[in-house]
Amino acid sequence: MSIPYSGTIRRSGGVVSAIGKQLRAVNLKAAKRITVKFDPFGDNVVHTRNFLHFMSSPKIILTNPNCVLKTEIVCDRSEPTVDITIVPSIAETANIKKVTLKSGNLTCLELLQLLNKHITTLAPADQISTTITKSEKKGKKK
Amino acid sequence: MALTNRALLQTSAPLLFTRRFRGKINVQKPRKPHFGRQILIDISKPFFGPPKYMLPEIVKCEKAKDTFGRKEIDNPFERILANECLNWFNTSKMVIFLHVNSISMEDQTPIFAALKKNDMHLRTYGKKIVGMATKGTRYEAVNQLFTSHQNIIFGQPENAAKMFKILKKTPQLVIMAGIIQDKLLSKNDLVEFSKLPSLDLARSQLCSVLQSAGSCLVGQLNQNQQILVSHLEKHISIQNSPITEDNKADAKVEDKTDANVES
Repeated sequence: MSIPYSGTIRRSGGVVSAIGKQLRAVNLKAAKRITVKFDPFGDNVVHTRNFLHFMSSPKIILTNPNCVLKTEIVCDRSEPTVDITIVPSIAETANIKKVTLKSGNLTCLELLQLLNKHITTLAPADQISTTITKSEKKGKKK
Repeated sequence: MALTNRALLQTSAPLLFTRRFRGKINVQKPRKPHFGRQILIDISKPFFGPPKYMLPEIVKCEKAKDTFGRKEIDNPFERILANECLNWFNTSKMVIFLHVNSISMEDQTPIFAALKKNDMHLRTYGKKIVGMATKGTRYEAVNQLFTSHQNIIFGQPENAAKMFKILKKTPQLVIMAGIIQDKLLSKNDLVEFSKLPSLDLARSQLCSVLQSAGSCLVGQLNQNQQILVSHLEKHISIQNSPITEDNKADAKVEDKTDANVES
C-alpha cells in the first residue's frame, strides 16, 4: 500500500551553488575576445552585469591570459549582448567564428550554461608537458 | 611495590560525596529546595498553551507561512550613511557612476590615490543606502544603475579629463553615466564634455566669433581706401629715392599693377 519514494534524495544548493559549479567548469582557451555590450539604464541588464563581473575574476582570466575582455557601454537602449570571437585555429576546425549571446532575457546562470556549452567544449585538451629528469636521461643513454 | 607504583602513572582517587546510605527515599515530604535551585526549576517549567479545540481556525492553518520574511528594521547607521551619501551628491558638481568588474585592492589603491591627488573621491555605497539617500530627491533616476557592483566618483567638473585619463588605464572600472551640474549625462556625453575646452577659453572663443563679424565688415569697408593709401605711399617713396634704371623698371611694373587694380 505504500507509495514508492519519489523526489530527490539530496537537496540542491540553490542558484548560487549552481553558478559556482558552472564557473568552476569555465575554460576560455577557445575564446580570443569577449565583448560585453549593455546600456546601463536598461531594465534587463542585471544578469549581464553580473556575468561580466564573474568573467572578470582572476581565476577565469587565468584559464586563458590571451583572451581580452572588453566592456562597451551604449546609450541607445539596445539589448545587451555578449560577443565571443573564437581563436582562429579552433575556428577552422569547428567552423564557428563568433558566438553571440543575446542576454536581454537570460539569467546569469543560463548565460554561464550557454558559455560552457559552446565555448568550453571547444577548448583544446590540456597537453601534459613531459619533463625528463637527469637520471632518466642517463638511463636512456645507457 | 611503592617504587613500581611511583614509576607507573599515578591516578588520583575520585572525590566521593555521600548522599544516601541505605535509608528510605523520601518522596512524600520533600524538603524545600534552595532559593537558587527553586529559580531554575521555575524557569524550566514546561508551558502548554490552550488546547487545539479552543484555538481559532485561522491559527490552525497548515499552509507555509513566511516566518523568515524580512522585517523592516530601522537601522540608524544606515540612515547616517544615507545622509552622508546625499551630502556628497549635493556638494559635488560632478558625480560619475562606474561599473566595477572584479578588481583586487592591490589594483584599486593606486587608482584611489591618483583620483585623490586630483581632488576626486572614489566611494562605494550599496543599493539600499543610495536608495534611501535619493528617495524623494531629484537624484532618484540614479537607482536604476545600482543593480550589480558599482563605485561612485565625486568631484568637480574641471577634473573630468584627468579622470578619464586615469580610468583609461583600468579596464576593471567602467564608466556608465554621470551627473555634471545637475544634468544626467550618458557615457558618450561625458566623453564629449571632457574634450570641451575650459569655460574661460570657450568664452574667449565666443567673444572672438562675435567680434569677427563686425571686424570683417569694417575691414571690407576700409579695403579700397587702404589699397589707395598704400599705392600712394609707394609712389612717394619711389619719387623720393634716387632715380636709377632698376627703379624706373620697378616704377613701370608698379604702374601696370596699379592700372590692373583700378580697372
